[in-house]
Amino acid sequence: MRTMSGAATLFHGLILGAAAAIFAAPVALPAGLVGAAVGALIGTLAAAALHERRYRFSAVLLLALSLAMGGWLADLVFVRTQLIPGWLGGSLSLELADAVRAVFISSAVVLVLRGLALRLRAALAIEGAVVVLSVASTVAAHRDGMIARPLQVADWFWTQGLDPVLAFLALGLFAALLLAGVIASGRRFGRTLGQLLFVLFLGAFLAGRLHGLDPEDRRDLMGGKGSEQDEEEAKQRQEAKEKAEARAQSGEGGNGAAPPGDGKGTQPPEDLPKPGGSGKDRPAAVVVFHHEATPPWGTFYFRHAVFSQWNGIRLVKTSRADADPDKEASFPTASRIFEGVHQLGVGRTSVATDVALLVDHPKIFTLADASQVAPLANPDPSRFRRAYRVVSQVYTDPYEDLIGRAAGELEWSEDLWEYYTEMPKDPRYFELAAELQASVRPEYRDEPLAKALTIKRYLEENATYSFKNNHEGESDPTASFLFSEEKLGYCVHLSHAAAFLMRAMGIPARVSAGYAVAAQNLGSGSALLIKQGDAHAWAELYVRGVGWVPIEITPEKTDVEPTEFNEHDLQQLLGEMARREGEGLEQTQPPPSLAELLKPFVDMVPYVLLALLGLAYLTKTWRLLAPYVLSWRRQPKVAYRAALDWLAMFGLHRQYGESREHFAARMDVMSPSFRPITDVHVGVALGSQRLAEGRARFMELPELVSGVARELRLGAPLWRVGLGFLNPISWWWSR
Amino acid sequence: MMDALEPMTPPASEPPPAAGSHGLEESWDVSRRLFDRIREVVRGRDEVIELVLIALFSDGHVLLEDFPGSGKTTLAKALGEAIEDQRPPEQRGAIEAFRRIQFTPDLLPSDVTGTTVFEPKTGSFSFHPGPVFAHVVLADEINRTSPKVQSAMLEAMAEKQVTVDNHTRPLDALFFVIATQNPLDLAGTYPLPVAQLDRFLFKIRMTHIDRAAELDVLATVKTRRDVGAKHLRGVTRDEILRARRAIEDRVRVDPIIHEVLVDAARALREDRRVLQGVSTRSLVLALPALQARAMIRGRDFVNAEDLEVILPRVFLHRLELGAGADEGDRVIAAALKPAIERVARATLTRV
Repeated sequence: MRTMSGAATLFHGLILGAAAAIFAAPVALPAGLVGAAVGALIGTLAAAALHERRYRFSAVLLLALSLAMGGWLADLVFVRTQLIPGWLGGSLSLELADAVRAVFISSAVVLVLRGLALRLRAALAIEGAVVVLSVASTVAAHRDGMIARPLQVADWFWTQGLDPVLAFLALGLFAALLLAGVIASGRRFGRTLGQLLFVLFLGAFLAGRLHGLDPEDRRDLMGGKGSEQDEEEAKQRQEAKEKAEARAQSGEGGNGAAPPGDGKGTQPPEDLPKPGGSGKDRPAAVVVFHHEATPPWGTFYFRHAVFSQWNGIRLVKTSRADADPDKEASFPTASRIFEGVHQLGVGRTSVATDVALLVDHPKIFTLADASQVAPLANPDPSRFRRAYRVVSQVYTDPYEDLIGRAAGELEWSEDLWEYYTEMPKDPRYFELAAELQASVRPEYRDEPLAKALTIKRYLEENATYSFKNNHEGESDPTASFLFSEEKLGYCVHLSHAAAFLMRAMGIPARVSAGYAVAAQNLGSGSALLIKQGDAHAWAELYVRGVGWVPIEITPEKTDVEPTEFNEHDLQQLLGEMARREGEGLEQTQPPPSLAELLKPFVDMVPYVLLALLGLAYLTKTWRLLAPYVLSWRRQPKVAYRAALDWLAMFGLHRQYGESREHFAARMDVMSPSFRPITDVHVGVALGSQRLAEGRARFMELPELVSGVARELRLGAPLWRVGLGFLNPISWWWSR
Repeated sequence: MMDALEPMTPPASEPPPAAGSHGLEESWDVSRRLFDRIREVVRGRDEVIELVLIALFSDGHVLLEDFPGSGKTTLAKALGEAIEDQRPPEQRGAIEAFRRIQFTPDLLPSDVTGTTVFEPKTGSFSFHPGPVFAHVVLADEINRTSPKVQSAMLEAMAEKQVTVDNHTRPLDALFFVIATQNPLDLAGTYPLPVAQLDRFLFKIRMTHIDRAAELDVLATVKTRRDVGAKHLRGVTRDEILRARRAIEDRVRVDPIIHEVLVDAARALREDRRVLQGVSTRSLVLALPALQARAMIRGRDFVNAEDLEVILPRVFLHRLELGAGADEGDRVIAAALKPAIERVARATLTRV
């Protein structure tokens, strides 16, 4: 029968408790986590007690089964009946139920696992697997540092200023250690604990080193995309874009009519958001608002591209110098002002924002409508890719003030007017436009905004938001979307349809791409988190004296799950990080974090370790060589010590309470030369007259030590010999 | 429970100590000769022979707990016969080499010590010495006789003298008792109390000899009966007495051994399983035994191995254990472990 010491059992219970709590983390309330841990501990102790009292395994199983039943009953009593909730109140009883259920279930599972492992050594493997899986299942949700449920772990690490990916590596290490603990804790407890602590320390040190690395290197280490790769991708994208532009220009050159069926031209431009895809919830950037301003439509639009030029298939970026003064720009190297936008003034509030990019982004994006951009020092290079400041003229007047204004600007040239209303010659657009225009109430028939809203309402009522059909390969994707029966499409199609319909009514319109984030996300704070899933395209019409006004189309029918915004903490946190540098003049030194305080020590650790290692080898060498160096008088000690070291190198140690003579007798089989050394050593130590005078016997000792070394080397396999030599602290166990 | 203790290796092949000034060569030679002579007659009992010799050299007595026919008498007789008294008869007096007393319930103290009888010829009283007036006395089945006789015998052992009719007569300086008792057949016996067991240096409990030794006994039975051990040189009484003095003087007992002895005894007394711990006298008795073993093993110092072998055999019959306690030897081994560790640790720091 295998029994374990009380301390080892307790240790085992703590490991299983930790695993249970980690497993429960995504599914239980805090009380449930405690319950799971306590339950695991109870299960471990119970399994040990039952095993010691020689209960049969069937009895253990029965007990586990009744415990599981107890968990179910607790759920019934606490939640499903009125009794307890009526007495304690809903939330308290819910938490209590969670805790009690966790205690029951986790103790039942652990009881079976431990009960089996105590009886069957191989079952330890099952136990280990369960421990690892319970940790892994929780951590798996955080793959790639993705911010996904459960948020506790990742968020906490963000708040500590640590990269979650690193933290997950540490968690993995921790899980491996738990496993090692489970396997080893049945053995010698004290030593196991010591070794675990050592490994933990080593892991912490490695993690510390990793954390201190330059961010580029770190990403490489973490198996993420290397920066070179990213650059390459960006280059490829750049080339593709240039090609597309060249194509657009050639389209323009060809009398505005692109050859239909141009296979290449049907590919959507890169800058338009693509449907679906992974990483929707991955943060793209954080925007810090220096001023408060909320547009009347309740959405912050961040543009990174403007499409206003008709290339025969769709709208693309303009090639005209006089159109779209706010057209996309590269990252600023110096402060730059968009002249056209700067003159806008009606109903606009100047808002400064700092944008800190969390991922590589090919193009700058700015809060609409940007009038000025300037570079900004990266507030935290280990976290953000780059940062820039934008001054935007945000329209903040009431929506109603837009009524009564004409479309377009008076000073626009005829050419520009034509440019902004150019569109497919497909008569169906005009028919639909005329139909919609007819449905506008007569008093508003001349209002561009009213017409735009009619289009908006038409599309919202009739289209279905869907990623199922991207209308790729059509000669007119927009027509394919707009004039189909189902009208399946997403923002790209909706915005193009709206833009074309407006142009059909003679309203200057275009499509913008970028990110759209609900203004309410800003909440009471001043930081706004932009996620990759916020990528969007929207239609805009030009209102005289105001500028480009977005028309958001949200179809009533959709087959896409809506997402909720629930990362307020993260948003605020990242905002604070991004703001650090942006404070400018009143820059205050933030209090150093624990990691920063410890950094010098952590940095010293490798050198200290190296020094210790060197010292250990030095000691080892000296102790082995001393018999050949020192005088005969010292031999009884140094020769015996060297012989002990040789034995220790091969894992042979005197046991506690074992006399030296007995140890020598035990070693006699492996190394007969050891015995005479022992005899002389002990004799001299215990005051033998005869030996004290035996110079000749002392002189023999180095020879005998060599004999011990030879005998041990010959008797052990080569790998063992090598291991013995390599071990820097084998001598530590010589006693 | 001999088998539970550390097995002893026979000292036979130990080389004689190298020439030097330690003066133990003669003692070692005496022990060697004695050992060889007894071994010639008693087969498969090397450990017991060594213990008996240790007791002889350290002026103690032994109690053999053994079943009948296991060679107790043979051993005692061989020992007695191996010791010659070369003194002239007038000095020697009535001391015999070997006497045996068979203890029975109806034995009287005077049957042990001797008695004064009236000599009609001379008209005076003369003392007829009892069997204790010998070098080696075999007290067979000592638990079968009445406490009265037992105490007479034990007085003789402790004091090395007998008192008959108010006249105290000294026994021989060598006086050495090998008492026996049957561990099983206890009906009608007077078991020795712990206080009296204290008079014996060792209580040696034995198991049957192993197969090879038993075969050897059968194979050599004729030779041993016909030839005996007479062809091997014996030792003299004076040699043994000289050896006793030499051992006491020349075998070094390091202070750490003293400390360890006391620590082990204290640990035993503090052990909750022990009702009555070992006496200080037992420690005093143990010292010469340790020295004697060191000498027999060819050493001039006492080491930890001596402690490991001697102490359990000195302590075991002096301990009174509580009900339900473990085997005594396990209790002793537990008490000895830290002591042995201390000796082992001490050696590296002092050299």
